[in-house]
Order: sequence, then C-alpha cells, then structure tokens
Amino acid sequence: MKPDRDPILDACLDEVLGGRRPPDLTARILRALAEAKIDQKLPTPAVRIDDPALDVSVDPLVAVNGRAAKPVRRRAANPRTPLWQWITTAAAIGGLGIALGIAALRLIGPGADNPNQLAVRDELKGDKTQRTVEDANRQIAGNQNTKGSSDAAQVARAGGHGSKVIPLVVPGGNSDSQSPAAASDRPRYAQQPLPEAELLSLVNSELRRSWAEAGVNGADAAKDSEWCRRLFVRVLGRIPSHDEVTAFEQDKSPAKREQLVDRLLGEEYAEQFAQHWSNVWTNVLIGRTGGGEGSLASREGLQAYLQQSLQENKPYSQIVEELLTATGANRPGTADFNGAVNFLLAGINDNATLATARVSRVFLGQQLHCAQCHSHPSQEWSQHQYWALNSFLRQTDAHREGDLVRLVSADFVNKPSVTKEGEVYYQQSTTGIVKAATPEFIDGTKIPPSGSLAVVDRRQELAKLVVNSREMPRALVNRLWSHFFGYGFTSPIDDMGPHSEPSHPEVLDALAGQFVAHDYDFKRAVRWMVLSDAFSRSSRIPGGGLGDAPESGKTPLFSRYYSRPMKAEEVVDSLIAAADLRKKADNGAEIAQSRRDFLFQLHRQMGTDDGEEESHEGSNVQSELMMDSRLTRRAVSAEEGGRLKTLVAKDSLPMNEKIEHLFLAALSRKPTAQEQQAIGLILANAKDNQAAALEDIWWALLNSNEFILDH
Amino acid sequence: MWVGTCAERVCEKTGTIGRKPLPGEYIRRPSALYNWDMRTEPSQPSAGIDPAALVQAYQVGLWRYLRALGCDAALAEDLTQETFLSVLQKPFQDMGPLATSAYLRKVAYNLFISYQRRAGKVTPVERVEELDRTWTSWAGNDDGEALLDALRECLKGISERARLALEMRFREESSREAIAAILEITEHGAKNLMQRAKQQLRDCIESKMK
Repeated sequence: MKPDRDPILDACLDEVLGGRRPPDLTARILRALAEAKIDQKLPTPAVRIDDPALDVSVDPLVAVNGRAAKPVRRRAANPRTPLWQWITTAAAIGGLGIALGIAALRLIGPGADNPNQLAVRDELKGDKTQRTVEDANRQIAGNQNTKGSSDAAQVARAGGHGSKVIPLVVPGGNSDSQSPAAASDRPRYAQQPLPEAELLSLVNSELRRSWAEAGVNGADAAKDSEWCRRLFVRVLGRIPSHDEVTAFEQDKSPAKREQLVDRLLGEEYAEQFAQHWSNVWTNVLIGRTGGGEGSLASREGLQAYLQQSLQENKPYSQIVEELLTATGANRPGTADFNGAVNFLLAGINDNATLATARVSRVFLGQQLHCAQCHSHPSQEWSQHQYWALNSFLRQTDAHREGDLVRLVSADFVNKPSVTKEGEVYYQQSTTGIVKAATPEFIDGTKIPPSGSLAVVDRRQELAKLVVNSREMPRALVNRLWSHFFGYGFTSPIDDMGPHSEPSHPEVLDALAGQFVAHDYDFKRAVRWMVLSDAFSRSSRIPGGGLGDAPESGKTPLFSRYYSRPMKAEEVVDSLIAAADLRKKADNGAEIAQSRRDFLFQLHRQMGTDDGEEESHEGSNVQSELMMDSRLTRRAVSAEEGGRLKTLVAKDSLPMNEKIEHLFLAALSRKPTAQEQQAIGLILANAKDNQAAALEDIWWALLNSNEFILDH
Repeated sequence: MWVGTCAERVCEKTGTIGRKPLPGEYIRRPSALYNWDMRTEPSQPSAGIDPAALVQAYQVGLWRYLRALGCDAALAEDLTQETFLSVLQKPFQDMGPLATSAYLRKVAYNLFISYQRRAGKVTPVERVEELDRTWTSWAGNDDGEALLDALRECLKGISERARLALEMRFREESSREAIAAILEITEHGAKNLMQRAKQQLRDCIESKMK
C-alpha cells in the first residue's frame, strides 16, 4: 500500500465516478458453500482456506462436482499485467528517444531563447567594445564638481590619480545588437484560479505533510477567544474590544470564524483595516523613521496615499505600479498631490541607491544592495545587475519649493556625465575598471537603452517588469505570511533565491500563483492566511512539538501559532483600544500626538546605505513607556475618560463583572480562579476606594506580558 | 516467526502485523470464534440462519469495507465470499444488524491480514487499523451509503479540471500521462492536481461525516 494512497476515498471514487458497483455474490457464495459441505462429507482431508493452493484461479462452475473444489476463487495473475508491462516498456523506450532528441537539439541549436543566456552573450559582446579614458572624459568634461556628477566622480576615482588610463567598458557596445524584450509581453507567473476551499486544502495538506515528515504533531486548535484576539491583532493591528470578543464567543454559528474574517475585511472595518495596513506598508516601504524632517519624502503623504488605496482595495499590482511611476507633489494641499511619490522621494538621493535597494527588497524579495559596491559574496548578484536595475530609476528629478517637493520624470540624457544612451557608470570592484550599465531587469530582460523619455519611460517599463515578474507575488506572499505567522517561508523574508530555499515551496508557489490568478487581491490573500490551518492552531507547544522550534534557528513548520511580542504600533493601538480612548473626538489630536511620541522613542535611523534602523521594541524602553507614559496614565485613569471611568461609574454593575470586563478588554479572556482570588484580596484591602483598586488592577493587566503578547 | 522489518513485521503464526513482541509478552491469538483455521475441524453449520438472506443483507457493506482496507475489486469479492463461507460453516447467532455487520467485518479483517501475510505484503498495522476505524465510524451503520452521498456532494465543490482528472482516472482508468496530455499539464502537475483534489474531498467528507 503506497503511503499516499487513500483506499477509502479511492474505493468510493471508483464506485461514484468509475461506476464499479458492489457485485451480487449470493449465487456464487451459496454454490461455494454447497461445495464446502460436500467436501466435508468426503473422506479426503478438508481444504484449508489458507492453503497456498488457493492462489490458483478456479472457476466455481467448473468445480461444481466438488472433486477439485476450491471453496474460494482466487485471482491468478492479473491478465492486464503483461499488456501493462508491454505498454510501459514501449513508453520508456519512446521517452528515452525523445529525451535523447531534445538533448541533441540543445547541443547543436542556438539556445537563444533564454534571456540569461542572451544577457551573457551581450555582455561578452560588449566586453569587446572598449573605449578609452578619453571617451569617458569627453562625456564628463567639466562637470566633476557639480552635485549631480557622482557618476563622473566614480570614473575619476576609478582612475585613481587622474593620469591613469581607465578603460571604460560599455556592455553591448552597439545598441542595435541588443534585443530588448517588450516588458508588457512577458508571461505572468500565473495559475488557473482555484476555489478558496481547494487552495486552503492544498495549503493545509502541505503543512501537515511537512509535520508528518518532521515527526511533529500539530498543536491543538486555538480557543475562540485566542483566535479572535490574534485575528484582530494581525488584521487590524489591535486587540479586540470587550464587546467584540464577547460577541464572538457567544456566536454559536459554525461558520463564525469565516464570518468574522469577512467582517474585518469588509465595509464595517474598512477604515481601520486601511489605517493599520497603511502603517505596516509605510514602515516596509520607507522604514519607521523615513519621511521625517530633512527628508524629501512626507511620511504623512505616503500614509494618506496607502490608506486611500487600501480602502479602495486597489490590486497590489496597481499600488506597486503607482509607487514606481508616480509623479507629483509629496504633501496634501496641492492640486498635483500624489502621496505615492514619497516612496521614491525617500530614496532617490545619492543616485537612487536606497530606492534601488528598496525596490529589490520589498517588491522582488531580493537583497541587491551589497552588489552596489561589489558582487554579492554569497549570491549570484553582480554589480552590473545592481546598477542595471538602478538605471531604471534615474529618469527622475526632485524639485523642492519650500516644504513641498515634487517628483518629476526627466530625461536622463546629455546631462553631466551622462551620454545620450543614459548609461550609469560604476567601478568594478575586482578590476577597478569603470563599466556602464543600461536598464536591465534582474532576470536579464533589457529595454531600449535610451535615457530619453520620448523613447522610453524607464520607470513605466520597470513597473511592468516588476508586476509581471515571478518574484513580486512570491515576495508579497512571503512577507504577508511572515506578518501573520512571525516567520516567512525564507529567512530573511526579503532575501529569496536559490541560496535560501523556502520551507514550504509548494505553499509559497500555490499562494503566489493564486494571488496573481485572483488579480493581486490583497484582502483575499489576507483571508487565505487567516483561514489556514496554521492560523487556527494553539500557540501552546504540543507533546513532541519541540521539533518545530524556529525560535532556536530551526526551519519553521507552522505546526503551532508562534507566540511573539506585538509590534510597538500594535501595542500602542491595543492600549488605545483597550482603554477606549478614541471615543472622545475632542482628544483625538492629543491621542495621536501621544501615539507618535510613544513610537518615536522606540526607533532610530542608523544612517546606513540601505536605511537600516535601530529598534527598541520590546526593550526596557518600551516597558517604561508602558508603565508611565502620558498615554498609559490616561489609559489607566478612572477620571480622564475612557473605559475605566465608564466602568467605575456603573454602580449597578457587580464588582466581579467589572473585573471580568477589564480582563476581556485587555486580555480577551475571563479571569482564572487564581486571578479572581488575588483580585479579591486587592479589593478587600481597598474597601474605601474601589476606583483606585480598579485602576491598579487595570494598570497591572495592561503591563502584563500577556497583554503585549500575540499568542 | 516474524517477517518484514521494524514496525512492519508480520507474525506468520498469528497473522498479527506489528512490532516483534518482547520476551514473555503475551500475544493474543485470534479468537476461536474468528479463527478461520477452525474450518479444518468440521462443525455444525449455523442453524436457523438463511444463508441467502444473510449474504444479501451484508455483502454490499462487507465488499465496500474490504475495498476500503485497500483490496482491489476482485480481491474484495474473494474475501467477501471467504468471509461468508467462514461464518456460515460455524455456529452463528444473529444478534442484530449492527452486531452482525461488525462481526463480519472482523472476520473479513482477519482474512485480509492473512492474505497480506501469505502474499508477502508488508503493511503497517497502524494503517490498516486506522482504515478500519475510519470506515467503521463513517459507514459502519449503513454500508457506506451516507459516505457515498457525502462524496457526491463534495465532488461538486472541486474545480472542473480536478473533476475531469479524477473522472479520467477512475472512469476511464486513464494513465497519468494521458490525463496530463488532455489537461495540457505535466505528468507531475496531473499527479499534484489529483492529490490536491483528493485531499480536498477527504477534508470535505470529514467535515460532513462528523
């Protein structure tokens, strides 16, 4: 029996689809029974039913006289077997012939249909076309001191002392020899759309298969309250309110989980969803500190754009395209405001190197930034690939007018140090040779090399290439999976490639393919993840579950929900939600400012090329803020509005129900017996001031480990 | 004597599939009631039982049960016949449909194990037991009719391509290559498609049979 066979299902399918109905064996059995009785009356020894002779096929009709009686007809050799063997042999011989034919064709054929091969050949051809330093100097003459002449500076630096001859190598040389692919014609990474149930079944079965292979048991199902809490945290960035978690627990519908997911992704929570995910995406796109003072970009502008886009449920591909091709003003208040420009504005300084790194990391899941200065030490990315990608982003200019910055498309041609073909120059780290790169996507696809917008809009072409690439949906799914489960399919999530095999390639491929097949519907991808088996598992480690311990560096199997501290934004928003602080419209601005202050103290820019940041999330800084920040003081006060004030004022509500209410509001669960006992003691010691006692309890709940834990 | 390896060992003496017993560990032999070897000792056939009626009433469920254990159609026929022969040649008391069908299944189960042993097939005992448990819980009371109804319902939920692939496989007994050619996918893709569809059906049936 093969391990992947399912005999019960196979038998049923054989009957339902194959029409193999149960036979009527009555006559046959009665005949055999009669024969057996005759046998018993004969002097010859009775035939044992487990006699090896039973393996011989005997027609009961022939044996009716009983002499050669075999009480059971056994199949002899399967009559189809010889035919099957012949067919198999013929197919094998045919297959071998075809394989040999293909191999022979590859050996003698041109093999030019592989873009990577094409690129390599072009590179080799280009290497033959060398210019001397005089050519380079002609292009950069007189411009080495201008601000925009860093390319020229690179050439000069490559020369070392100015008098040394610097060979300048132009890949391709003759542009006619290139064969740029039309970006829009490239095949998509696509599959047929599957019904949601089928996709989830695939995802779940692949996950379970990985558990079985690793000998790991899946954790038990999460309780409703646990699942509800994590759903709100992951989808809306905050814990559920008292009313929300209570209503969910009381709902008896068997489909209540799907219904809650629908609600959170529907109109009712559309604004909160968009607000949360605009925060998430702003952090991803420009970091937690990007778009602040001194930056060309406006953080608020980008957030506004993302919030509106998410609220409209724009396809992810459209958002990416708009971010890559945007032009306009960075801040609201002008006619040409376009918040999408802030993504590139945050990274186009210094020859758009930061923007190049972000495009490759965020949209393609590839870390190319190392290749800016040297070919990647552990991967195949070359400097040429980095600068070829970078050259897509060079047809841009930023015009500053006071606080307002406009991103415009501009020719990247005949500028200081730029030829009419809009090449980007870089110094090859291994040889010191200065080379030139024209736009070439990471898969080797080239576009016309001109820097003139009239000939080609490089950002438009880049957007098409990114959106149609195989990498973009995989990068999105990997990032999203990491958001929901704490770990992506690769580690890190934005460094995918042959060096970093995904933990569950089938799941990644299926989700990415279906994401494309369903028109890059972001909310649908969210829905798949939160309705997956992995999301519904308890965070408690099951017996034998130590085999699934990504915390200790092992490959995650997602056999349980990995507990993790909430992000700083999630902590603050949960604090605001738990304390019910947003209800008072007049203090909205103050709450927003408190929120910004809280977060500002947890993140700091490190000023590296790829915009790295230092974070104090989960540190004692965050603990101190939770214990005694302006926001916390307001949240736990029984006098300054919010949940506690409302609760204290409800004289008719018994104290135990008030306590239960606070637990549900903060931890999404009711107090345990042990906790009730401890709280009873606190209340008994504060008979004169029950409000103060409630404040203490509330403060303790908000400062508990459980409150900041997504579990 | 044990054949096979590790957890897949088969005891030739008892027909038990499983691990080798520890020294002194008690091995429960098949009950005399279920022991087909007892046929070598002529005994009184079941009195007061109408063999035709018994076969008519239980053969469908028994045949399906054997198919569910992994028998092909012909083997299921043989073992069904063998089961009835074994039962009808010994004293037999009909204690009601559920008890009778459970008893017949047990006999058939033992015969199946015996067949596997003789055929030299090594099967993990846990797998057979799991199939037995699953079938009994899903179809022990109605010969599998509800299970088949559930499958028919669940088939409506799978994609058209998946359904076509399964129909070709089970109705026309097409090879995987033929299915792949019709669907214009690779052979591996056809295999995956059918595996996914079957997993989806399994999940669907499980939810319906709870």
